[in-house]
Amino acid sequence: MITFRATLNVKIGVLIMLLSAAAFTWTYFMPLRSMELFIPRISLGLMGLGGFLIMLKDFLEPLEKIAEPPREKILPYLAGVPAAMWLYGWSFRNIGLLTSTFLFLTIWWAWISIRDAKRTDSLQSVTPKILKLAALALVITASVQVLFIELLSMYMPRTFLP
Amino acid sequence: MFDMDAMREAFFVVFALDTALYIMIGVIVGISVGAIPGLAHSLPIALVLPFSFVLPIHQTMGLLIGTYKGGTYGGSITAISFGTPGTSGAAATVADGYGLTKLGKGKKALEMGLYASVTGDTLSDLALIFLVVPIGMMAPRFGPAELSALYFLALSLVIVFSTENPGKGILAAGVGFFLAIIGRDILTGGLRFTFGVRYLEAGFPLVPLLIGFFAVPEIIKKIKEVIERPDDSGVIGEAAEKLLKLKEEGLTLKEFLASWRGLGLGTIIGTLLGALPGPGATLCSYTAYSVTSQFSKDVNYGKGALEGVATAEAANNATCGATFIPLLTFGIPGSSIAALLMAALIMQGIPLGPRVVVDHTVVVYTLFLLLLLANPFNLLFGKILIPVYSKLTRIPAAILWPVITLVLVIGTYALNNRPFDIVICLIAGVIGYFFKWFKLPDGPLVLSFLVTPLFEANFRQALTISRGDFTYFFTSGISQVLWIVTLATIILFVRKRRKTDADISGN
Repeated sequence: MITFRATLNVKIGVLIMLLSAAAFTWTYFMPLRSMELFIPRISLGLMGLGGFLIMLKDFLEPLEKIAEPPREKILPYLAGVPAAMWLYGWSFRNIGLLTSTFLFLTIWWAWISIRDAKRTDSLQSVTPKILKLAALALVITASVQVLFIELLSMYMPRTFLP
Repeated sequence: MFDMDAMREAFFVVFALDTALYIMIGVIVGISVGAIPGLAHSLPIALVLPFSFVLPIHQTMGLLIGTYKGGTYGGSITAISFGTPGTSGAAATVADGYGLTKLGKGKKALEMGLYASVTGDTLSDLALIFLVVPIGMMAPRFGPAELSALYFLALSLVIVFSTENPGKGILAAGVGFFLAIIGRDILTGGLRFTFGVRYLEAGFPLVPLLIGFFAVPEIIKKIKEVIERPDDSGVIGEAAEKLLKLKEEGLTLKEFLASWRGLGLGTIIGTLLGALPGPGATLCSYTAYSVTSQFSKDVNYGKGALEGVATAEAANNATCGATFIPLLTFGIPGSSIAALLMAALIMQGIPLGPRVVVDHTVVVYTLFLLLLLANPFNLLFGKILIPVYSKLTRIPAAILWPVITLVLVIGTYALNNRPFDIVICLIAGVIGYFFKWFKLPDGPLVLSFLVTPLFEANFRQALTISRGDFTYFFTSGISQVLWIVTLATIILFVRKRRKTDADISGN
């Protein structure tokens, strides 16, 4: 028997169905030949069908068997980590590979060390730890330079700093 | 016809100190570069290609084959240790390999990856030697209609086998299809779904997509752990304490032999699919992985089973020998790496094609022996490097993951020196995170992404030949068999699912 339930799976399934239906309709307004749109339409059809089946499964399954996706706070990380990665990619091409690699690692490790020290109330020993980590960052930066620039001859645009 | 004199000549050329040295260098370079996420092992092969001008053929090919084999295995090291495949061929290894690492069995997984790679590789080399003529005769009988049926079969297998929820498998395949068609149309050059972005005209490149899809979600997860739960994120895995206190156990012979199904199916599927132009190591390993999931008795298959690692690794390395089948018999390079190897042979003045075995018998036997000799080197140096990589997983996450992140960003950029590849990698990372969160299977996406351009090209070519007649897809014996196998597999799967559901309800 079909029981209507508004679970997260159902909501996502409906959203996917709506999006794929909209994109499918949009393909009829594209200035492309029907053969060029054959596989795109199959892909959108598959997505819509997938969304429908996901929704249907939650309607047909007993309530206790439904597995919902976890509802944890992830959005700040989902935005922040890729943004930081993009920023690093931008900075090594515009500032310099050595400088940006060293700075990224040192800043991250220094921040984590200070956070940990505050948490464990050991701020007095944080400076030597940061210095050690900065030395490690220097070694990794040198390895990156040797591997990618010297050995693999990676193209690097001219930058102000090394 | 076997030529004993040519074999003797090839034997003395290959089993010499200088050749061994070049194979050794190749294997070390291959494993090391293969283990760096983002750097495909075609890169070191391309870098050592100019040596073809100065080195004799046995040294050049020793270096290239060593790099190829080492690189194919090397991709599994980071896939198992950090859940980040070093090469696209190791993507299927992630689920079980990294699952085992999280359970504190990383060393076992790494050893299984190595032994399975070498086993699959050696058997595939032997298959090449004995089957080069018969399989070579079969290859040209695969026209556009047969190849369309073959790719459809591969896709169906992965969708039906990869998930308990068919809707999720179909959705994942749909996303893979969609990502693959972005860019220029393969026949007409018309722009599809590029949204005016110039960089998308070339489509979604495979390596940044896979690196982002698998690695970025793991990076996000680890960074979140480091920030929110610093005490629990010391080392990778739940078995952190155990890892630090106890000496990690290696793989036993019993465990290795218990994975015979995965090893066998992986080798067979890797060799057969690898002998066809197009599929490549990634598609082979995913297909073998999905097929074995139906026969495996290990309840942890897909979450942390040695058999899963064995299947994926045997299959992707089994393509190494099989790649040479179309290359030697018809001069058709089945993959980008095969094209590089072909270029090296052409630069040495070896015209590849049906007559190569007759006209250059010594060279062909030299290649066979080099392929076989590279395997013990792969085993030896893989074994030497395993302790190094298993120790890396014990480095605190707060230190290790930022380094992996930066290497990944540079590696993605270094592949084509294209900044937009980093953006692709990050977009793929967000998609990958959604897949992980919503528990969508990754196999259908990767496979459909790989298969779509091949399927579309063959499908449209077949329709052009038949002038729009769809019955053309069912006319030849090979395609009929392939369609019947596809249908039978889907029916068997549905029946098996119903039986399993009925058993669960009954209990």
